[in-house]
Amino acid sequence: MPSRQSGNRQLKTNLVGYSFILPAVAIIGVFFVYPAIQLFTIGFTDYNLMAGRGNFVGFTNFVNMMKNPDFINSLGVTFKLALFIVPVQTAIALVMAVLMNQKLKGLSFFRVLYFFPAITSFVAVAIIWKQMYNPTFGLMNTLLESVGIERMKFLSSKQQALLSVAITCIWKSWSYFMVIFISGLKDIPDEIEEAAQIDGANKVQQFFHITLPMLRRVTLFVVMITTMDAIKLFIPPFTMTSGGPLGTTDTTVHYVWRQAFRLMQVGPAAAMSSVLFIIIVVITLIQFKIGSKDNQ
Amino acid sequence: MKRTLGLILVTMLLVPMLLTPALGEQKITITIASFPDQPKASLVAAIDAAQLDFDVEIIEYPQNEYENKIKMAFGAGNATDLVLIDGPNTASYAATGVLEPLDAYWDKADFEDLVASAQSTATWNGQIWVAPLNESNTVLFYNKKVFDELGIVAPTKVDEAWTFEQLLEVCEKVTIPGQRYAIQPQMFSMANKNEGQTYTQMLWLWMGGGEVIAPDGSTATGYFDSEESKAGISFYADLFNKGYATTEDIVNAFETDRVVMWVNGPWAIGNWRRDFPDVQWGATPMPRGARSASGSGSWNIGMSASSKNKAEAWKVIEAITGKQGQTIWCEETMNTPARASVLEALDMYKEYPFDIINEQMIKTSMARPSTPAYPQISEALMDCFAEVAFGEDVDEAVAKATQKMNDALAAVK
Repeated sequence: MPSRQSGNRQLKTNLVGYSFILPAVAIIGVFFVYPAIQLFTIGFTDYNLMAGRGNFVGFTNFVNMMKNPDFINSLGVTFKLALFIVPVQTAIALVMAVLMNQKLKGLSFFRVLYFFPAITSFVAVAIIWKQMYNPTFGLMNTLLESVGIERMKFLSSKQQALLSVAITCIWKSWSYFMVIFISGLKDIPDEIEEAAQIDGANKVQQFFHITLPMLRRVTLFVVMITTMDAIKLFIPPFTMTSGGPLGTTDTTVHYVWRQAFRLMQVGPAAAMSSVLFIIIVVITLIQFKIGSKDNQ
Repeated sequence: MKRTLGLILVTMLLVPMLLTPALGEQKITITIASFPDQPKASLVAAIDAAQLDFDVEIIEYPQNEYENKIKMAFGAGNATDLVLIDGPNTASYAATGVLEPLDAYWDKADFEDLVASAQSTATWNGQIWVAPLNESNTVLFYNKKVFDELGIVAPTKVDEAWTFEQLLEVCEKVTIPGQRYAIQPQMFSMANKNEGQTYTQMLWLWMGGGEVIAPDGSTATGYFDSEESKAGISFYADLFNKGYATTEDIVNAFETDRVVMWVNGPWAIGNWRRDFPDVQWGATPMPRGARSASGSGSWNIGMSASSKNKAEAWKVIEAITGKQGQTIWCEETMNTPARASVLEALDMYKEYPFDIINEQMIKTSMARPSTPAYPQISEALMDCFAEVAFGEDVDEAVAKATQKMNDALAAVK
């Protein structure tokens, strides 16, 4: 019968499709979904790293976390970093993308040059910048003194350490997002910009009324990814400051790492990671909703 | 014919497969986890002298990541046969069941050859868990060139050690504001966070007359937040407030004449001889506040409970920490022996500056608290001292640290 034959054919097509996506689903399941489930379940135990076991403690870890001033401090540090890095890095990436998108000879050399930080290991970048920030012999103070500015303590100062770390992060990542903005700029039809020019709009007006609105989706993507990266920052505090001085650069991921791997408290650390995961998901959803509303 | 050939082929395949496990079983290699600050060549020298009939492999992990690596290895069940363990962490490792008790292996008379502080470090809950590589102590090293220029004569006997007031006078004399600091009162600059900081910062609390936690490990209230402890912590804070010490991260501060005095241990002498032979240094006993105090406790070797070759592993421990091995190790590294017999036998420990160290070990050395919560205690103490160094209120910093310590102690009850 024709309907049975078409049903069988559909099943066969579906099976072929499933078999194609099965490897990817298996990888995601093993390396992402399973660890995430483990993370949530371990958060309800007092799992000790060395002992390799733990007992169920209910919501104790979550309750203690909310009363832990160091964890709350780490959340504050993380969000301060994100609130600075996201707009500054996005703005730099966008402005440089517009500049690099000009039809000028030799610009491709600069595009390659500016992209080097993006392809360099973050650990190497952090180590180099730590040396540059050294108050005694670092390049930063040498440059400051050469223009008559007093030496700074940078990573040794409670007031300056977080900004110093933020600048390192921005230097490392802005060029990656510049490339994403460039590809977005290339999608803007030339005719629209030409029409705006004919209508008498100058470059600044074109940028704000044509370019920016047409880059909305790309900007949303850049902001979302930068926010997630900023909230998950670990390497700079780990390599440059050990979270100091006095916890001023102790991001949540760095604090969680210390709880798990220095103090062996994997249960509480898992609980904190779960909370951070939920926070990142909520922020991403909010950003997505705002971005989608604007598109409509 | 075909059958015969087949039989021969199968035999040729099976025999090596059956033999190989048997051959493999005979080759024993004992693995030791270590890190760069423990000179590998000196460990090897001590092991070679014992002429063991099996192999020993030393696996080095990066310094700052050593503790993390071995903890993760224990958790994953693939720890080395032997691990180096910092003395005050013995209880926290033993409490999780990852170490093999050594009572069954160690002859009692030989164990009693250890100095008292080393015996104390090696035991917890009535059992022996580790064997000491060496003991440790702390002195106040000083820049001999600066002292000679300014005519400052440092005492060499514990009974003549500077008081806190006298130390402040010296600090005032040697400080050049903005250029040269009087003292680095802890092992590393404030940019570092490791047990070396606690080891030296705790001294100031003790010299103030305080204690960290109760002797039974039940609480820090009344101990860490006592007036005596706060007196010691306040003196430490004042060194920074008065400009005699700095929170700035100055690399090789003592060796480059940026800091004149430095609280550190005798291993610094070995480091200078190797890396900074031109440094002119002197050593004087630790100063005294309400009482005298100096450090103790160093690195030890523990046996993994999961080791498959415990008898051989014990032989390696004996090779390194026995009389012969410890003599070799201490002569090469300039560390202080943990064995009384070795201390007595080696002439260099009767000469300056080791005579100061010997005298302090007997008269003023104090052991860090022995508790499974020690990692948390250490971190809370380090944070407290860092806060006061940066100018935070002493009472608030001490109260916060006391609470953290109490939470940690309650969790391991």
